Amino acid sequence: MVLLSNQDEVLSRDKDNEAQTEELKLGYRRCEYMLIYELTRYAILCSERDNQEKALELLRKAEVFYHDNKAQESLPPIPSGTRLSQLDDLNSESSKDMFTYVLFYLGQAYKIRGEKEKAVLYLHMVLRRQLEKGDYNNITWGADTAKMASVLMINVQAYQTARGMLVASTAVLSANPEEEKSSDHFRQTWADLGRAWVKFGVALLEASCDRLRDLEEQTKKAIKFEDKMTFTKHEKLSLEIGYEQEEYDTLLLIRELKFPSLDFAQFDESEMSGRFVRDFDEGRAVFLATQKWVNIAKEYYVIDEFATDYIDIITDYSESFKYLSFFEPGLDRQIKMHRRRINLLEELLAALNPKVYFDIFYHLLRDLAETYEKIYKLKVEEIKDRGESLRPKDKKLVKWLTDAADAHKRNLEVFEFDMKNPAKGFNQEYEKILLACILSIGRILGGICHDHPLHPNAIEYADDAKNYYQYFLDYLDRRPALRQDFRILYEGTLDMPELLDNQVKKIKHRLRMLNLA
Amino acid sequence: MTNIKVALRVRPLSQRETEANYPVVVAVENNSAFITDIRVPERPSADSRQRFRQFDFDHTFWFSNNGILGAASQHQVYTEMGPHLEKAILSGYNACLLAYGQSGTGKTFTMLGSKDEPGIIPRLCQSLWDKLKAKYPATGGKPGFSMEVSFLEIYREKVRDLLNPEKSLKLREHPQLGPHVQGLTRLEVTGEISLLNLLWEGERRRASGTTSSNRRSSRSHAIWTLYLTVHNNISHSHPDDVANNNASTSRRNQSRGSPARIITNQVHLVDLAGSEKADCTTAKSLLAEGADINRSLVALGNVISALAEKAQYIPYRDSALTWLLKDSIGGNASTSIIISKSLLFLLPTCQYEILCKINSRKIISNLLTLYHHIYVILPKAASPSSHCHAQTLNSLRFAQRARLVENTPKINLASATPSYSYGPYGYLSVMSAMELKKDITRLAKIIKTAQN
Repeated sequence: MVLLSNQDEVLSRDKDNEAQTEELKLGYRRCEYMLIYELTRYAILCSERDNQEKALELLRKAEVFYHDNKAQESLPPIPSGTRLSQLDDLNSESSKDMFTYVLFYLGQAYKIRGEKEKAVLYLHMVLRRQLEKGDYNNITWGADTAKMASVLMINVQAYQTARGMLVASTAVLSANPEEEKSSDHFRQTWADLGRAWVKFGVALLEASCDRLRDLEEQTKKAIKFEDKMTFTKHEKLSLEIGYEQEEYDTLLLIRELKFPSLDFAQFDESEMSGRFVRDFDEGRAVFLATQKWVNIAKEYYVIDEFATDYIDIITDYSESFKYLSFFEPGLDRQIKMHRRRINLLEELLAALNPKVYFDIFYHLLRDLAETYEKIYKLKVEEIKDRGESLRPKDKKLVKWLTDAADAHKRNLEVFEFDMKNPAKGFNQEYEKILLACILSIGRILGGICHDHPLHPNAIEYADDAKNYYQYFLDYLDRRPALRQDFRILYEGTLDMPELLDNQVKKIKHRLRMLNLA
Repeated sequence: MTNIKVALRVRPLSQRETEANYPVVVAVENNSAFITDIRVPERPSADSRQRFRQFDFDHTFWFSNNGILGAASQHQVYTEMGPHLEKAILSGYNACLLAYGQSGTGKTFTMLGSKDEPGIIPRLCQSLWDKLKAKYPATGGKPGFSMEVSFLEIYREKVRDLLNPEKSLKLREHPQLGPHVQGLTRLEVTGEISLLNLLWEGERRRASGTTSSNRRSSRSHAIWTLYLTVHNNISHSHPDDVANNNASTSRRNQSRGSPARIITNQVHLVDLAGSEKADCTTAKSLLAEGADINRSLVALGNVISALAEKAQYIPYRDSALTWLLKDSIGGNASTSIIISKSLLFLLPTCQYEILCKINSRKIISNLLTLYHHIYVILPKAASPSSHCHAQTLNSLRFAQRARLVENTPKINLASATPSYSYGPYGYLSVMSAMELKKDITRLAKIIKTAQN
């Protein structure tokens, strides 16, 4: 720190010299700037050495110091050429930039500490300041804002804000000059933005469904922010919180996060709205927007090169069909949506190597089984609505159910299920899920012989169901601890083999009667 | 069932170290290492830290100062560690051998060695070649097995093919193959000589990117992979074969006892970068994620933590290294898949002052501790401001954090940040904490005087 040591010398040597005292006074003021800068650098070092508390403390000090000393009037400029002209006073533009960095690091520090609410507020302020200054890179700014939106999306009540962020990100990225749009970085960021939009669309549809279903556990997914927040005087200045209160409602503050300097009216209208969906038309609008972004994301994240990302996109896409179908009044169209879903999932499963992606497989197969069953239920409903009997459609209906059971069976295959060997255990992590699969197979196949007794293979399915139930019981018999967890299901299942036997007898009897008749 | 062996190898003092008369703080006896913490005073008073710590290993290899009794040569190291590895490989399992340690501790010497004193890799390759030739002889003009090799380097998250450096490689994820390096050269080995030649040639290329301040090879990870394909598996009664279950195995006949099977397995031999760079800039730094001084090593630690804690999400994708070794360090599979992989962790040469903290011999926690509790105190680290001391504490704290990793859903705010890599005046100049501290006090004093 050559400057300062020289300054000391000057101090001691020419203390009474008027002109130099003046220069010194200005110098002192500019020391303030250096102090903030150095505090920040020291904080970074502390954080590198894992002393996060100290780092935060230093940054807070810098924040306080900045606000306390900024209020003084601007200094006259120092003639260039002197050593001190390199420094600046706290009211200048470069000070503002430096303070933006301080805010950035504060946001990081809060994030590390786990105070995500404050982190969000600070980091948003940084983005806003960057925008207002006009000093930002389109691509990185867009990427950062999209990521922030993803964070906000986890809380249902912050959806509008998240949407605002996504719109801002879209606006800024679109404003990128054409030449840059062909760069890999841009293409990836644009695709990531697409994924964020898709997730938003799906989350919005899901939340809308939950809301209308009036479920008790509507907020089961929401990781809540802290309800209330308090700020020091300086923090309020940093975050430009205009009004005084004892405590602030976190969500209100988050909802107020905007980018006033950005004009994105055109994007605002064309992108999906952030309001909850109430009927099919609104749902369709959200869906179509989601679909558009899915296609954009798929352009970059092709399956051959980014398999996991592609899987993620397709999974979200298939979910959007699921939620849209909730709003669709027509049964036949609902069925169509579910069929689209099946196509997506089957296509994906066919492309993947089960050994490499087995953990994804079991999710997909479960979704698949669920969808097949759903279609079955809808078809039955459709037929009943028309007042027809189910019998003529037996084969087709049962096909849906056997497909569902097959999906569960495929799941079991991935985990090397051996019907004849209940002693062989599954990996603990998947045990419960697989047992649930087994039970589902039993239920579905058992259901066939109950609801469609005159199907040619009804007896075969009944026997199969019995085997699965028996396996379930045997498996749990050997594992008393697990049996305890499954107690209710176990007890309910105890009677099933016998019931199925009776069912089979009934069917055989009926067939005999029909043959005799 | 554990397949993980932990070994410690201590290298001899260098001439500089002997001349400077540094105290020796490591003692080895019967597969245990005893480490002295020289900072802790001898008297049993206020300081609650222990002065001596004992750590147990499966193997220890000790070099004494003058190379006398008990000194472990390359041959001896291989004799103890090799057979277990060979057996696993020849049975059809995948294997992965990683060498971890600070720069200068002898990782490369242990793994590769020199032409006169070959290390584990050349010995293993030679031995495998000989054994495979004997076990699966050529029949009807067709070879009984084939061996291919690839050699790549990960430096600052970029992958370079050491068998063909002009090629640029990309990390891709294929739906059938999983994560792999697109365009990686795989050369067929025709004899043990060509195998070793490829090895030395690749290693030479690795070192060729040296900068003046740091040997590039000490900052890059090198992965040498053997791909073995056995065309005729005559021994169908081997019990382990049934459990053979890995991502890249292609089995035509799955039934037990089938006379003709094609088994492929991979052996990854990894010489990691010097670990002294790994502890800084962990995920919890104020600096943005762009600064990946040694992201791969840090990510590896994170993956192991996650596996040990049985976390729902294992962050394989955080770095190139963990992404590529995903199927070798898998832990979220069913038991059979884990068994089929044989992981061998070798802690090679440590400097005499290395403090290794390995608490127990439980499978994954061994991995964990190996990765995160190793740190070095150099002689001049008496002052608290030294880089190594900080790194020491970093390792400990990271280890502590890693141990406390909880399986709770966490908001991924990690990526929701504006991208500033460096401060307002460009790259942070290297100023020590002490200097900054002094400066800050001085500035504050000046300002105070001015305000009065």
